Amino acid sequence: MQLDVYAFIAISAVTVATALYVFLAKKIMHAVAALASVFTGSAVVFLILGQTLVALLQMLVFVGGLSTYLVVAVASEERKAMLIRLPYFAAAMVLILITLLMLMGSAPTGAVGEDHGASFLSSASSAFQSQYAVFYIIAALLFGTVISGVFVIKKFSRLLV
Amino acid sequence: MIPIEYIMALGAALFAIGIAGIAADRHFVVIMLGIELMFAASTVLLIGFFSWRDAASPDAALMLFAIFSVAAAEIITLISFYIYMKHNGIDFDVSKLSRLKW
Repeated sequence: MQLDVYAFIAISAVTVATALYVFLAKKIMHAVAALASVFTGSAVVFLILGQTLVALLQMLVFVGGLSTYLVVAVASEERKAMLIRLPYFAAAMVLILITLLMLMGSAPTGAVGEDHGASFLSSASSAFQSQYAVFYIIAALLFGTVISGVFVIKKFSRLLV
Repeated sequence: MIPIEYIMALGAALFAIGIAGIAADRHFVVIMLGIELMFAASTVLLIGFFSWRDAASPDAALMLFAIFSVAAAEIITLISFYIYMKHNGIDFDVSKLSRLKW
């Protein structure tokens, strides 16, 4: 492997570790500092990918956002009574990660910087073929059902009690 | 040359951590931090795929403005909710947010 791949793996490991610490920290201030580290790590990833302008934009825009979070963190109390439920967190993370990786198994392959032609565009347009229409309809119906269910529960919760 | 699978794995890990944290945590501010984490994951995936397709394309920066706009709107939402909850003495435990009915 080349040097940039090793650098990418190291930066990714640090980014994922600090992303975990966002939820494991006992103080909001520490969680915000970990989030700042995640943003910095993703900006370094952009630099490795050759997107200098995007990395600069990432740092500039999230300085504003993170300063807001820092103000909120300073004003907030500690969260000792509201710590994360670790078994739920670990189970949900593993389930979602497995699902995402299974979904990504059908994604295109190759390295950044190689010539792929129009293969990315052709694979993206294949998602709009007619045989997938039923899945989009089911997804839209499920989304509408969830939204209307929340609305009904909120609207008629007094009748249920 | 970074394989696209590595970038997808990083994006998936960040997104999974963010959504699992939102599902398992109860503090309002930490949940908003989890949403920011999911934004970061989507940004990594977007830039990764744009770089994979064409490293010299300016489309990535243009598309990124949409994500940044949504992230900025989310921070405004956080501030408004935070002020409302502080002003009305509402606990930051989201399991006690029954007073936020419309």
